[in-house]
Amino acid sequence: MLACTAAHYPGMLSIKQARIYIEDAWPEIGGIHVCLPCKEKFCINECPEDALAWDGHVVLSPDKCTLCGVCVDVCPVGGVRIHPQNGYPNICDTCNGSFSCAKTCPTGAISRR
Amino acid sequence: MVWNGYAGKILEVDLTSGAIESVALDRDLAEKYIGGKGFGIHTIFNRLPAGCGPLSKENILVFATGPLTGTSVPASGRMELCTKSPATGLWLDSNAGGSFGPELKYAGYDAVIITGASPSPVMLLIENDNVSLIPADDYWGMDTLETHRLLKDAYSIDHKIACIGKSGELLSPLANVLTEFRSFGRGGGGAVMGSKKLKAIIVNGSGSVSASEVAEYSRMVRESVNELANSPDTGSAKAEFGTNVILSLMDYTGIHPTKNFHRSTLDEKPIDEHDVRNYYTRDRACFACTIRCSKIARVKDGPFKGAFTEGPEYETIWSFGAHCGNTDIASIIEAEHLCDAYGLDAVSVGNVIGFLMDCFERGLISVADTSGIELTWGNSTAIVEAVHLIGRREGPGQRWSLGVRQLEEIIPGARGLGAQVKGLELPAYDPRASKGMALAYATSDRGGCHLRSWPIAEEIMNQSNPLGLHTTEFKPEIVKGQQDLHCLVNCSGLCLFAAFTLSLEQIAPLFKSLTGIDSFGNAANLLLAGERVNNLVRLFNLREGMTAEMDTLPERFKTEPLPDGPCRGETVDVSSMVSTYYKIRGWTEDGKPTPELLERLDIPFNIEA
Repeated sequence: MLACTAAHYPGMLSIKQARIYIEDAWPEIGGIHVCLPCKEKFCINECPEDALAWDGHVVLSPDKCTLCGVCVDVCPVGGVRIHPQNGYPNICDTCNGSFSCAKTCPTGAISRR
Repeated sequence: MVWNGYAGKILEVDLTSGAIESVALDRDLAEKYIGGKGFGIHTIFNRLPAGCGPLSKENILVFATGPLTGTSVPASGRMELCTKSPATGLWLDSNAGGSFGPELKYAGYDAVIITGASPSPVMLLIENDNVSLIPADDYWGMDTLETHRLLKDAYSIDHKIACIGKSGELLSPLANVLTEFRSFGRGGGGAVMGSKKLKAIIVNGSGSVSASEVAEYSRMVRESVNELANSPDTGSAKAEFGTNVILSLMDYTGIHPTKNFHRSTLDEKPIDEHDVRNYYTRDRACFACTIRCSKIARVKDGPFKGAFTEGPEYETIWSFGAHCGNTDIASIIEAEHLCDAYGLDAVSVGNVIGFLMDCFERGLISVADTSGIELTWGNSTAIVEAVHLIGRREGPGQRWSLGVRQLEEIIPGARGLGAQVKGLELPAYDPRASKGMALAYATSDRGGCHLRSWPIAEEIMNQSNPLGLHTTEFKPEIVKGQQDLHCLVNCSGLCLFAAFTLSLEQIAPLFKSLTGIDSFGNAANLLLAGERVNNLVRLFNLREGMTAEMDTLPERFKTEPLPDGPCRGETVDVSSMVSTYYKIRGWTEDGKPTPELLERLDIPFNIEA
């Protein structure tokens, strides 16, 4: 999550702006939530403003987005995060194919498949 | 002022009046005292009325992060709790990992200073700029695990929590503060929180901290991650075995004490790291940590079936295990789980139980004094029952929870049997076996503690030039050097385990590129900050009534030779090492920092001579 934030906002150290979310359900790990580009594209299809599109990954048009949050609700894997400062949906863009999260993960729990 | 690394604000909460104030962090304070323990001692030395009772409303509780806390520096999720200890009446700082510290930084605060006491149970809720005190009557009396669960249900799973359990509420000097299932351990910080009627601190933040020189910082982080991964210790051993990795080594070298420090072997096969590993079900890591030494252990069958804990750590395996003559790992897991739930310190509680077993076996106490519990060596069920009594402070548990130093006075004939320094129970290294550890215990600022310095690293684990266990030569130098380094680490937010692998020359550029503060780029300067903080803590301890005579070990380690194991026949007298240590520190023969030293360290305070 730190790596994701740093990849998108250089110099920013936080987990809150990350597009991947690791759920801590102590004593277990609840799950790793990130966009796993699905065939159905629920977020794109359900977006009432047509603010989301597909271009190798989900792309947001901020000028169309009304921050309604429908994309968050319809994603079956919890892959849409809300940016805490600007309120826009924050969706994995694969770091232009370089997958910062997978590169950083020390245990290989996150890998590109 | 623009801050890098730091959040730039300190939150002040007065529980008596309910006043909450956010004040700007002082640049000079940050440069000289770094953070964590440094912020704690600076605040407490200046503001705590001299001689105040640890459980009085005048005592101050400081939760302080360091500049590295919450950043992507590996193993940087740690923070400090600083206060005056109810167990020793002296300085206390406890370091804990998990994710509470980073969350506090993201909420915008480097530290929380808590003063006064609330008339009724309260919780402190911190959500960025919205900070409030809310009634906690519904949670009072609840154990820590239940408190965590219900608070996360009520707020969110991303709200991070630090809370006390029943033992803290009952003001037990053995009480811990639990945070995200890890502990601010030793010395009774939980009781201070209990005396203030503060059940929990809940924090959720949406901010971030920033790095100053981004490219250099990222490069140094990558280098540190690689260094940790390449080390046999942090790269593989700790990931596989957790802290228990040193069990066999400590046994083999005779450092591992058994049966209340009377022996160093057991008749049964001692527990080793492979035995403990069989109980691990998964790894866990603190925030941003690539070492992942934390494990979840579960008991699958037998009388303790279903027991689980985050751990058990090396110290717990010793305190409820070898120290009590017990080799049943399942019972240790249950005991550690109970300690977490009650909010107890597992090292001290195990030490107390071993001490009681010693008294029981010698006939100093009988079943009439123990609510019928047969406290014989190795009785695992009795250990678990004793933890319940200590946790609830019920029946004899009321007295047991006072700790070994007071029990030595209470139980007739028990004087001299305890293993404690300045009122804090000793952890899992025999001072007769490791002369360096003996000095480390004697001179530690919070009493019998293995984390202020750990000279065993230089005595036997330094592969190129081991000093050896039994010589006293160079031990004062090692202890002083490690104390200053560990103190710096406790100021920084970094984990000691990372600092064992990374050199200070690697850590300094991290500080510098993160914060942009030039003086942090110099390793010697950082070490000087560690020394400064240690000396201010010394002044505090002297002011609160500590004397040089207290820098010693129990008499028994001088007169009672180890009867068995590789260190058979060894005793230890720390007095000559302590006087050398004073000289190296620049202290007088009474253990007081000289005015010249204070001037060199730029400490503008002194105490009445």
